[in-house]
Amino acid sequence: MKPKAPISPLEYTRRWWMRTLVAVVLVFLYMPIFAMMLFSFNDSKRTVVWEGFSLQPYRDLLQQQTLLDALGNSLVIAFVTTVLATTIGTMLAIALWRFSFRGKAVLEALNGLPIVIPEICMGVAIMIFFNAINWPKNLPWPFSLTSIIIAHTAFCFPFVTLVVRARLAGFDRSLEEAATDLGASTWQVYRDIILPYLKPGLIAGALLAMTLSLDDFVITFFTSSPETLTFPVKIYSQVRMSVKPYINAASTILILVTVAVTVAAAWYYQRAASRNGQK
Amino acid sequence: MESWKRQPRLFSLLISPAIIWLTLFFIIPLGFMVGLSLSVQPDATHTVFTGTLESYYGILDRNPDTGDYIYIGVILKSLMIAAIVTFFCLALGYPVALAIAFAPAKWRPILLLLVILPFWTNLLIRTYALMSVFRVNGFFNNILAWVWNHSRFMLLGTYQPFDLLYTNTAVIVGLVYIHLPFMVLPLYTAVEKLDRSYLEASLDLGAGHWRTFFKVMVPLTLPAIMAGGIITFIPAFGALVTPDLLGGVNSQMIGNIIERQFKAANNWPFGAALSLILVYITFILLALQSWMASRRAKLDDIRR
Amino acid sequence: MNTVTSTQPFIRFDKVRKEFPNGTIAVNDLSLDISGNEFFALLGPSGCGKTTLLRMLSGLEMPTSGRIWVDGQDITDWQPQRRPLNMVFQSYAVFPHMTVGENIAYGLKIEGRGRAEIADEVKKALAQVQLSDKIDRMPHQLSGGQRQRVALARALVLKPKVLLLDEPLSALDKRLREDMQLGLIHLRNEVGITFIMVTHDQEEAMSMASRIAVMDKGSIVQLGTPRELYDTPNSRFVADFLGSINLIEGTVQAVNDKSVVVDTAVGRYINMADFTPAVGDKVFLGIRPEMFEVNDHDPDENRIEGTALETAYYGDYSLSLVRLANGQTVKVFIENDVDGRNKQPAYGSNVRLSWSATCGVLLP
Repeated sequence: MKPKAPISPLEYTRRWWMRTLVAVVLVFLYMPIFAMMLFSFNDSKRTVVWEGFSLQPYRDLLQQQTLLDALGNSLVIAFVTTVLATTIGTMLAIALWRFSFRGKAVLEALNGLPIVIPEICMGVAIMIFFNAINWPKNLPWPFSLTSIIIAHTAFCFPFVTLVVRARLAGFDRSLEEAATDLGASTWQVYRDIILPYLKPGLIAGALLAMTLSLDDFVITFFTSSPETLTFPVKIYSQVRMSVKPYINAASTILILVTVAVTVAAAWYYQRAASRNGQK
Repeated sequence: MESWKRQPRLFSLLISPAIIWLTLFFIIPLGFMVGLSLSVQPDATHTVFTGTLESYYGILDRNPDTGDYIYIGVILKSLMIAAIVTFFCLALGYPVALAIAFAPAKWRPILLLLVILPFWTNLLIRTYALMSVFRVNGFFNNILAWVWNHSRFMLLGTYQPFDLLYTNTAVIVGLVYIHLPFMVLPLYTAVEKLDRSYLEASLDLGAGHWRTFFKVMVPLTLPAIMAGGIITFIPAFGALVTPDLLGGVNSQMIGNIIERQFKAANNWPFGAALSLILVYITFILLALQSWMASRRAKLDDIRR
Repeated sequence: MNTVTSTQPFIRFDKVRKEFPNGTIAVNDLSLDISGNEFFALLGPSGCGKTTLLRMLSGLEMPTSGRIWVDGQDITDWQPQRRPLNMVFQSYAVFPHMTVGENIAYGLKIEGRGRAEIADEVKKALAQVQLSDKIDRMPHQLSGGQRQRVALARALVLKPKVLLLDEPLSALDKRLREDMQLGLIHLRNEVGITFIMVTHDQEEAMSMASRIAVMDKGSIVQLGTPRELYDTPNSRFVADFLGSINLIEGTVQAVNDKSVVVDTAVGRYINMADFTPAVGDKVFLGIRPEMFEVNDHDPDENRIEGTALETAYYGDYSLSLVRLANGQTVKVFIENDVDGRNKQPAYGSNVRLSWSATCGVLLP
């Protein structure tokens, strides 16, 4: 075996204490999640003592109608929010990237606020708002979800703007100039040159919006009602009472789905970005 | 970049949805919140705007038995916890960011993904997972008990489980657990972009690694440190779920208090006032950050 | 352990090898001795290993095998902060968040000097590079050339035994480069220590260094003074790398006492040789552009006929391209006389080029 090359001064990652630290942090981050996922296969009514492998928690999960309803709500809300937030956020990103105007700095700061402000402030404010304008409370499903969708969109689209703007920053204006020189109209330039370039950014932004919406608890907590529970809010109420294995099962499924989508999107982003010549 | 007047229709089209949404569903609600904070609540379901500062005075309430400021106390405690959490996130996050930035190029995306992935997981699920770890009957205790009972320590008596849940420690650990991945990202970006020859020059001139870190790397990555600090401190400060599930009655933070005003305690004006205090503190911190950034830029000008 | 004799070179590389994890061999069992008071250059194309060698000397890279000695001490395993050498980086690496004065004081503070002493040393160092009035400026307020001088002062104030320079002139424009060349030579003479410079620019190396090591693919191809390398290169690589040279391929016809007869596609020529080839060997005849005489020959000299093509005018000289009978082109240097007589051949005209047997060089 070839003798290992000696470690040069700045190769911090090769030092044993650094590797130990990173390993410890990764274990710290993943252990609780893995343990919880493991116990979703536990053959027991409780979740902390292993009593054998079983898929019972998953079967139990299918019995929990309220939980499944909540999951359905979450998915619908996430879908609509993603569409709205991505659209609004992308349009704003393009405008900020392209145009200068009075009050631009103010708008940028304003757009950053939903990101920085504690979620509870936003949740409370929106709840107060809907209450003050007497937003109808007993709409039929799915319209009953509109208040949640509106709130989610409000706090999601600034993130989309951030992501899309980052992608736009790497855009080579000369491509656009070449297209115009060859006779393309403004609309055609956007459709044929800018939007295709933006695709990885749009995917990333949409993914971010979807995840933020699916995972959101605080804002939804304040804007939902007993008839319009979402998945995280439902879990919250369950978790406070007692610990049940089917919650592990539900969580495991959600984690696997999120991971799969994130990894797929990350892989796609890498491929699309490098194919477009940018990195 | 061109002036909006070049393409006014396109510009208006692009920008109006965002402006409408921001105004209707962010600014106006905040305005309502201000109005509510200046109202009274004569009965369980109505509030009347009177412009009174009663709620704000309520923040200065004292505990009749001990004389402590109840709400100011909680706010200060929340600030303190947020500061501790931010500190630990920095202390753990910077080495991890370093490790990734100095890893061979093909390992970096993988390591980054590994660290960021937990962030994509649902907040509630992650907190719930931690609960299972901390309980008296939870993993931490169970594993330690197993080790204890199967080793020499058994001779010292049966294992006494740690009561980790529902303590301030649990809340802090939980908040670090939640926010650590988000701190690594800006730090990693900054370190990766840093010109290595600055570090090499420092070593070449005789500095050891610690000195190089504190005198060269940290000052040159300070904007990222401040950005990461802010996006950790503010959410930690206003946290609701983590202190509720991991802290219980013993360690309430300002988020829990606010939530209670709108649910159990049903004192909406007071809740609005407290929320606004949070907003003000956020603004102060942001102003502080931008003041520090402009101060650094000004110092350069003075030295001209 | 460390046996120091008076004949020991100041810097010694002993079979130093650097292999990277992906398999590339950057430095291939290289041995080299450098004295304590010279201006030394490592010259070569990019990827030849010269920068890696310099970084191994400074401690920023560790050799895979081999030892490095400086002033009698084996420093191979020493961390860079411990080594008595300092480096001026290609990007200068002047700390952007400190003033010029703080930059220069950085190393002194680490050594633990007193405040007054540091202030004094900083002032002297700045005076040495003519930047005394910039002591409180920030680096971004300085030009590139000024930043380089700060880097120089910062390194020299620590009184290193050797100063390492990584491509010192590559980022400067032409006018500044000439000034800096002379400035560095002068500085070195003043300070009296060895400067080791890495460069890919042969003009830089030739004008500044007293000895040059030409490197290619991790090994030293030839080591010598600029004159030696230019007049008697040992290979086509060195001949072509330093200055330009015209190469005419041929076969050895006969080997005489001091000269060799070579058969080429355009004629038979006699040339001096440093080595002894065998009859029938393939060799190259190397003639530098300035060695040709145009249309003005001595019957004893070698001669070639050709057609003149384009000529480029450089003010004090011109370079003409001449096509030979076999289609190959050679470059010919023509000095433009003070009395203005235009010796440039017209396009398409026939020219006769000649050179003496002692002016060309035979290369394997």
